[in-house]
Amino acid sequence: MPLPTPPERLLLTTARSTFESLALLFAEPLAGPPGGPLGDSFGDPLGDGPLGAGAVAARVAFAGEAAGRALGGALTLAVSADVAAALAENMLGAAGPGGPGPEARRDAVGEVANVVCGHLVSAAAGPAAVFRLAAPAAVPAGAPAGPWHAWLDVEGGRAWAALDAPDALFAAGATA
Amino acid sequence: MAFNILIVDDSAVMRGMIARVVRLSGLPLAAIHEAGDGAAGLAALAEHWVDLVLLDVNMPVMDGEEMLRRLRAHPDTAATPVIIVSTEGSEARRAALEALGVSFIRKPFKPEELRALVLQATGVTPEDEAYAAPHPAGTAAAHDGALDF
Repeated sequence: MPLPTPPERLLLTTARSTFESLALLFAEPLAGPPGGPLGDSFGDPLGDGPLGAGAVAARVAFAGEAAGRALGGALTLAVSADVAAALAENMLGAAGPGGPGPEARRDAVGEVANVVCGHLVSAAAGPAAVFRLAAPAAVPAGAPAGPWHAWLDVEGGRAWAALDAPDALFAAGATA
Repeated sequence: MAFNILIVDDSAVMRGMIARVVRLSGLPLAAIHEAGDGAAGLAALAEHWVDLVLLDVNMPVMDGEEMLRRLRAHPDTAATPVIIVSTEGSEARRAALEALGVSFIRKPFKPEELRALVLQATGVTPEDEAYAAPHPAGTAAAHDGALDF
C-alpha cells in the first residue's frame, strides 16, 4: 500500500473519526484498486465496481474563501451496501426487520459525507477560512473525483472517499 | 421542567439521530417535534410550544440562518433559545451565528455535551429540571396559533 500524501492522510483520519463518532463504526485504511470505484466518469457503475451491488455514493460541494483566495471543491463518499445499512441503523439506533430502506441509507451516507467534508475543509484551510457546504447530493455523471483518494475497511465492508480540491486549500491552512 | 424541543434538519436520518442523542442526554422531555427545513420549522413553532430549537444551517427551501432571522424578528419568538447544529468549523461563521444570540454545537456530538449546552442555552439549572413548568423563553405559539413569520 503506497504511503498516503498529507491530504490523503487528512482524508483518511477525518473519514475514520467520522465513521466512529457518528455511527460507531470502526474503519481502517485499506489498499484498494486505483482510480476508485466509480471509474473515470461518474454515472451508475457502482454495481459493477469493487464496492459491489447496492453501493451508495454521495457528493458534497463546498465553496468559500481562505487566505484571501476563493476556493471550491467537493468531497465524494461511496460505500458498499452493508456499510450503508450499518450507517443508517447505527445513526438511527433502529435495526428493524429488513433494516433501513434505500432512502435512509442514501440519507445516512450523505450526512456522513457532509460531516467529513465540513471537518476536512476546516482542518485543511484553518479555522479562519469561511466555507459553505452544499447539501449532499447524488454524484452527477462526469463529476471529477479529484486527486486525493482513500479506501477504508469499515468493519468488513468497504468505503472510498475522494477529495476534489485545489492544492491551495491545504496551503491556506498551512499559512493560517 | 420538561423540555419541548424542535429539531430542524433536512436529513431525516440526522433528525432521528439528534432525537436519539436528546433522549440519551437524560434531559427531561415533554415532546420532540421535527421539521425538514426552516419554513416547516416556523410552521411547527406556530403549532407547538417549544422551549428550544436545534437548528441545522444548510437546508433547502429556507436555510437555518433565514429561519433564525425571522424567529428573532418576531416578538413571540425573539427570545426562544436556539442551538445551531452544524458541521461548520469556521470561527468567523461561528461568530456571526453566535452574534444572532444562539449557541453552537458541531456534529457529531455526545449526549453529555448536548445536555450541558441545552441547560446553558435555556438558563435551566439541574435543580429546575424537577419542575414541570414551561420555560418563560419558550414560544407562546401554542396558545392561539397566530404566529405569522
